[in-house]
Amino acid sequence: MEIRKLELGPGIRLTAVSSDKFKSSRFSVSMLSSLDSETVNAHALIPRVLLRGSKFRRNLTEISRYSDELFGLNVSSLSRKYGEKHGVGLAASFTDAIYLPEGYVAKIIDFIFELLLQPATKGGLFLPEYVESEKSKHIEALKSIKNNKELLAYFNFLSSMFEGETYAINHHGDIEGCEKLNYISLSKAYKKLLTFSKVELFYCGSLSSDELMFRLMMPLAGLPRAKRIDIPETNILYAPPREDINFCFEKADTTQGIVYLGFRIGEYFKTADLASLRVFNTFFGSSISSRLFKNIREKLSLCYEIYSSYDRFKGSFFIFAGIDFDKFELAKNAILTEIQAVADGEFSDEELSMAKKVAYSDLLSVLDSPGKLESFFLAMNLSGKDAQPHEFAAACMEVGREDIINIASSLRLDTVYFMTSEENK
Amino acid sequence: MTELKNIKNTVNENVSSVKLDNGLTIILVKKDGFSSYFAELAVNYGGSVLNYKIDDKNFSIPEGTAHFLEHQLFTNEDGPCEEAFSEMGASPNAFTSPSMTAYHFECSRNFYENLATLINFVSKPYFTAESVEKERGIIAQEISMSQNRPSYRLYRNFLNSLFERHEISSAVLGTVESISEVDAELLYRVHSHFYIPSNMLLTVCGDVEIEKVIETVETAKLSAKGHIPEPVYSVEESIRPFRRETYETADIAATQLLFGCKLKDLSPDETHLFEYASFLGLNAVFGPTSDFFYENYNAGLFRSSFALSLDTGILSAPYLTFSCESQKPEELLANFTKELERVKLKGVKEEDFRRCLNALFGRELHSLDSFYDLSYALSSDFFKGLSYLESFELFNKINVSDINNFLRLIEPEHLCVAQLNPKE
Repeated sequence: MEIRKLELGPGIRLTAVSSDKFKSSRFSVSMLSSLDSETVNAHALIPRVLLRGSKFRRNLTEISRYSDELFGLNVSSLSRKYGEKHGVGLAASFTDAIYLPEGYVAKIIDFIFELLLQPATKGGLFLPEYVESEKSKHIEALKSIKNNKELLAYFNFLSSMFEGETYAINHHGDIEGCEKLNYISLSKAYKKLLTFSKVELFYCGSLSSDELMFRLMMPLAGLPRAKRIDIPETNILYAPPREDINFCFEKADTTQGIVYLGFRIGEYFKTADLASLRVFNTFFGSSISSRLFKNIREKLSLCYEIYSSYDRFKGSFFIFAGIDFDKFELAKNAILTEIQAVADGEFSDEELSMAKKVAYSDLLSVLDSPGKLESFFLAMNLSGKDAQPHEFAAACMEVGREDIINIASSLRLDTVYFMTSEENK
Repeated sequence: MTELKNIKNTVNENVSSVKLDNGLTIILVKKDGFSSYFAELAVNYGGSVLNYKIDDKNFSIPEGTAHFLEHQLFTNEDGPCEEAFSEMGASPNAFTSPSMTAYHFECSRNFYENLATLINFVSKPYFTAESVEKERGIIAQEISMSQNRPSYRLYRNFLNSLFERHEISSAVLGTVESISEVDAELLYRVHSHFYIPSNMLLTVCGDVEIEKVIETVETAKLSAKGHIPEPVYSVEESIRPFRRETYETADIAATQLLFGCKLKDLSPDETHLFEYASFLGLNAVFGPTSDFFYENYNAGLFRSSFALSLDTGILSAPYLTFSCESQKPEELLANFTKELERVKLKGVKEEDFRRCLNALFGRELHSLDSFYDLSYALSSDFFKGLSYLESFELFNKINVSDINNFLRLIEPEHLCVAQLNPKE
């Protein structure tokens, strides 16, 4: 497996993973800009409109038929959040070159750039009917968030915890903002996005990086670029922006109570290394030998689902649990007790050793999946790091007790969120 | 032990299989150059088995028993097995489907030690009244979590309306009431009946040696041989749905629609052809490349996806489903029926068939990159008496007549429609 990172132009970086061990390949184009309430709706909608029609394949059917002819090419729209940056674009999975007839990979790459850079337009603007149709479907999708109470709770929790901060912006946009868009405003936003965004290209497949660069030369020549592209870094708060803990209670038509606890990682985050955070999360709440799983789920039998996660860009740590409505206080206190116990060093070396080994294995498994490789390298690139999965895995094995204690001691509880049923008092 | 045999395939996979003296079959997919290892021990026993017989003796068990057993097996006499895996850097998990239960792990080191742990915990049950009671609480939370998901409720409503008696409509998780009947004694009995080597399959994916896999399995010693239980299903069902329609309301944004129909019983020999024909036929007529999709998407009758699938998990109860979110479900259903009638008369065009065949080939090939998907497909087919990788040969055999024959089996009056509507 050969991994190369190359600058292909102003603000354009290619990460190419060349390997012939996969049967499928992945290629993605992520355009990064600041997460901004002024642009988030347009940016989230643009990839959807791009997939409606191109200059040469004018409608959805022609795009789908051509994708099928290319042996099951699957192109999807992207809208992802990296701290306070917004990444949108297209991601494609397709049959690897080894299994395709001669010349098909070139056709696939050309087609992805055709979708990205040569949309169906009239007078240089997106077709109004496509914009209106995708706008309406995107609004329906935003309304449908309420169908999934865990997701609804998650977004509402984020809005409450990060109120007033850029991070609170939902990267899928909002109904009100989306309704204001039209084909003229969206076309302008698209041209700006192409010109002023940082572009991360990712490829994993059997082509060598030299072959790939040769394939990309022509399509990239069509990408307009500003001379200087700057995106502000995520604003990190090391302590909650208020004196008291923020409690947010919400009633909904739910069959299960949903708890979120949100923490600022605190002072530790100023010098934190990603390996320590990864091991801490595995140790505390993201593996089946974690403290949360063993003590809250298995010993106390309080829930089926409980886990922790963290945002490496924002310096925040989250805990989710699905519980009986009347177990809120019990669950919240038990979770906080676990954090305190870890901060007090009440854990064995064996527990930590297990977490390190699991984190190590998880990171090596990244090497076996084109999709995981893409997520890994994009996150690394945007963190300004250059580690490869096996190097990051090795760093996890070096994490010590003091790192775990320091992270747990540094956590500052910011927000307690609870979604309960309409009937529950 | 039977002779080690290579499983021929057309997709460059290095696959071998062997049957041990105790009856356990092992399939190894040797993946050179991969960093991880994956092993799955699957049991031919799933959530739809509510009645079975051994040597003409009949047994009945409550809904949710297979899934309860899956949860309970993670703890043995020495404590939770999670720690044994974690100590070796492995991540274990398990699932129960209507037709099978499977236990698996992924790791990047200590593969053979982890394999021994997997076999040990699956084959050595340890249940107490206390541990069963504790797990009942966790499973009740899982049931509650599932009911919070509209798609789960819709699916349950659909199956309960489509089938009158067949156990495929039972809930794999069970209900809070049904799992209250499960106790340690029942779990021990079910384990001793179903978890026997000849009723199981071990699938291994990774850069490993089959000889060492066999040695590990033989050292770990699976439970003794026994007679394979025979699931008893209520097969005498009309091809017509039990109820044609079912409606429920929920706190959702737009109507969720799920409709489909039963199909005739399948024999193992015709299953792969049927699966391919359904994918190709349904995609050619209703999929994203079809005129039907284009017209109805443009008319705003569904949002983004119109999912089509054929479930052949239990060969005595195959069924088709179509699902989407729709603001105008009645109009969409009327258009669907009209298109179905048209295509049954006119047939699918050769060019549409060829295009969908390319797409299906790509999709199936991509799934070979996922150890999890590959192991699931191998196990699922093995228990039906099929070889998953041999199915790839069908790409050279299937033709447009197979597709048209399949489509003619779908009768609009056999459709069952489930809707989950937004509250007023």
